[in-house]
Amino acid sequence: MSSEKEEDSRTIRLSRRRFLGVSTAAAIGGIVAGVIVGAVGGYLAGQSTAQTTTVTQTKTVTQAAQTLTTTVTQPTTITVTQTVTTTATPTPPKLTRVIIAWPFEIVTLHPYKFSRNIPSESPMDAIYDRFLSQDINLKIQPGVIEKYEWMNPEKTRIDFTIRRGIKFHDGTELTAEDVAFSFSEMKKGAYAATWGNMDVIEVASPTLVKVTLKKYDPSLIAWLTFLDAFVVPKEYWEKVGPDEFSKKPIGSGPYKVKSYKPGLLELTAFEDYWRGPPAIKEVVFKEVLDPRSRAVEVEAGTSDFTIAVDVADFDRLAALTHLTGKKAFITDVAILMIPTYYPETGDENVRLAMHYAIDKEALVRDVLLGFGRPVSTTEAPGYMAYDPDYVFPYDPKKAKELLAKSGYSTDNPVKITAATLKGNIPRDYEVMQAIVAMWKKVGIEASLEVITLAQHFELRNTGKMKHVHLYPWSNATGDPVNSVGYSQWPNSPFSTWRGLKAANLTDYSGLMEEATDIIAPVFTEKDEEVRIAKAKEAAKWVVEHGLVIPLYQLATPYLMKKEIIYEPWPQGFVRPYYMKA
Amino acid sequence: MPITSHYLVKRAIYMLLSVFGVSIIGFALFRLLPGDPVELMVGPGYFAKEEMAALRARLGLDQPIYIQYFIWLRDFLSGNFGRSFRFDLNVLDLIIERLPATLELIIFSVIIALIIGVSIGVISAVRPGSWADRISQTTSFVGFAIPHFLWGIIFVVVFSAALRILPASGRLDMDIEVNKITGFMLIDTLLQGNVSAFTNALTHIILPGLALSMGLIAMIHRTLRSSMLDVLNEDYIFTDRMKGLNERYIIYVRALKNALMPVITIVGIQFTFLLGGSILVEKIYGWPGLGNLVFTAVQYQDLSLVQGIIMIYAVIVVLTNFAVDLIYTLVNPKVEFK
Repeated sequence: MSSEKEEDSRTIRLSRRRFLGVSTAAAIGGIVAGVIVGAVGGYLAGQSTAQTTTVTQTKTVTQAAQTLTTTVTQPTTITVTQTVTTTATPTPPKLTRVIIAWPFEIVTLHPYKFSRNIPSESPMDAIYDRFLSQDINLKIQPGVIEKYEWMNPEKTRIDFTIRRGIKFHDGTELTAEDVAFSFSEMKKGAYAATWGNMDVIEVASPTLVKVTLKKYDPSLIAWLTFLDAFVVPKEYWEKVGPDEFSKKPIGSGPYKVKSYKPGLLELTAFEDYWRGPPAIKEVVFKEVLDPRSRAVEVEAGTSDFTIAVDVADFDRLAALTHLTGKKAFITDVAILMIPTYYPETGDENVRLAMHYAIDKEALVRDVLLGFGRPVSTTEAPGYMAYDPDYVFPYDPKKAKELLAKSGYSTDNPVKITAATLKGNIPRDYEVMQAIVAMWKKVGIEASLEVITLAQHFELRNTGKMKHVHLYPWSNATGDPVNSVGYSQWPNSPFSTWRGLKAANLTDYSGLMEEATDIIAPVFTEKDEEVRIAKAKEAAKWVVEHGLVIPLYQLATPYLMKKEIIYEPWPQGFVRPYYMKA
Repeated sequence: MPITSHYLVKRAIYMLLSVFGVSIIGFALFRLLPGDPVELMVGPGYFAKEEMAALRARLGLDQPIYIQYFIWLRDFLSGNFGRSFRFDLNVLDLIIERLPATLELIIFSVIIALIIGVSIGVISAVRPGSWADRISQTTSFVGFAIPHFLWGIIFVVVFSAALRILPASGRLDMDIEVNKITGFMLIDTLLQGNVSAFTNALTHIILPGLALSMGLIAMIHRTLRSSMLDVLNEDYIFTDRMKGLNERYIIYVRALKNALMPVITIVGIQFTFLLGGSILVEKIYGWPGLGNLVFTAVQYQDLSLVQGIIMIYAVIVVLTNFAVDLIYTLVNPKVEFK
């Protein structure tokens, strides 16, 4: 009896304990869930509010480089600012440090190692000076080189006058010796083939460097404004060697290196910078490689500035009260590369039908959410050979007619394979999916393959490309040498023709020789006006023969704290020197 | 003596053979992948064919693959992991610099998983069918079903963007300086007696650590629940109860010790999976560890770096498995390895 009672009482006791335990757990769980739901609810509500908030779009006035002689309006930038009614709140302290959530890995500070895309050069651009600079309209402006002069009619001899009064971060003066030394080091670097054209480099005086070229290169001056065209101090470089130099670099740019460790580059203002001291005194490039994390960084305020967030996040973030969003067109054009070593794409009717069938406006509007603008040639607005009057129309009816001429229809479609990278540029895969759908309507049945960047190079070089490759083409110089030139010229190592030649394949278009002749003046013509006119012709010619399908110029989303005043550069550089707060 | 010297020698040979095998597979795999690393290396540098060929020869990429392997093996055995052509740095230096961050993240997530997984596993087993059991079973199902990187994004959105209570990236606030001793931020801050830096480092590791541990929590919970239910029905537990031993002692000491055996196996196996899972989690949280390095190395076909990381991962995996075996003997001295 007594044992049964004990059993009963224990059961009751356990039940009470259990009840209390479950109740407590439920209460704690409820509170935690409530907090999370509340927070997420608030977050989503914030999103919803943001989406319905009145957004004013204003074209901003350009903040031009301080030493440039011309002040120009940048037409390619749209600033999205939210109109808010502010109550009397204390003025926030002026920003002297800007933390940039950076989408690229900073692998080295060595100025001449590795190829890189334009925005990823930005940290280098803050530390080192370039020989020449470009303004916000891609026009070349003086830099370390104050003046250049061609010294013979063949344009193979050029004199560079070096600006006086420029100091390196260690206080030593920049001279012609440093410029000549930098040229020599560049010849050993990632762009050796470009700089290798400098045959003889001679220091004539502390402010004069004379260079003899192996052959005329119309884009030499443009090259001096980008890629690895940086000036280094000869004495320090030789004293410490390149390995030590890349750990503790010294340049003559607006910022000195404060510290550099994996994932984090801290810079501090160089007060003796020749263009004047930077307004922002401390800059941090903080690697945040994931676009969602970058969005969170600026949203939560742990970073002050970022680029390349997902375009779908842009409107919501730009409408937040503490952020400004800017959409800036950059010097990258998405193109469809079409090799002519397949019978299908060797047929001009098919190539042109592919182009006529693409509704670029719809691509930009619906897939890229406005982060792009259609182009008709490889030359985008701002490029030297851009022709605003030339428009290649969207005409699906004509596409059908052309396909019919070659015996194809929606019932008997031409079958091709289209390749794209995924995530190389925003929404590339989705763009290609949309194009495949557009083609289907006119009688082109394309199967879609995703490839890597390494595969793209390999397939292009070996003549094994698919019928079509979606690929972005950068041209920060704006020079046609880098757009219609290297992308389309049959002698270029980067065109589709390279693989055709390497594998000795049949050119079903029969256009290779003609293309060679038509594009050649872009590389060889010495009269600049004539060269640009010929480049415009060449850019139209390759499009009208369907050898390339230019799709759209890319735009990049910028997000920054409201206090920051910054106008994006068309090349895609992030230049803290031009930030103000 | 649960482990004999004969066993140790045999095990060492197996471990060496495993690492050797991995080195061959890894080496062949990345060299047979389509894509030209030299082209990626020079990018749009406009190198002439001859210069590309010279560069390829300098990197030894013009040799047959087996010759390349033997050259690499010779260098590796002499401690030379090669030079990363993406970073232009010694591969071993790069790995040593970043490995502690990854190991710290993984060990932290294993600790979190053990604390949470074991706790809810015991509760579930002791009260099967209860609300607590049902909730923890559902939660662990969700934890298991959602991949690491997605947890990472969810946590960032909730705790960093919406609640703003935990940082979204990095290992430490930028203004805090900590001298590197072990490379493990939590340990270094404690060794230097810097409590605020320790707290700061802790707030930074919580989200990536939790994101990485979610799957493991679920596995530990389910495994422990199942093994604990079996153990609680064993005769010796019945005997303990008959002896009138304290119920808590029976559960947490007598039963848990034996029920933990499969958990140790799970943790051992999952440790290696966490190495893989850390790649995306590190990317999301800007964690400067090996994961980010793997990403870059594979993307740019940085062959020396890829191979170096593969070797380090292989060594970690075999050592972890060995450590798991040792822990078996500690937890249960009846286990013998001969």
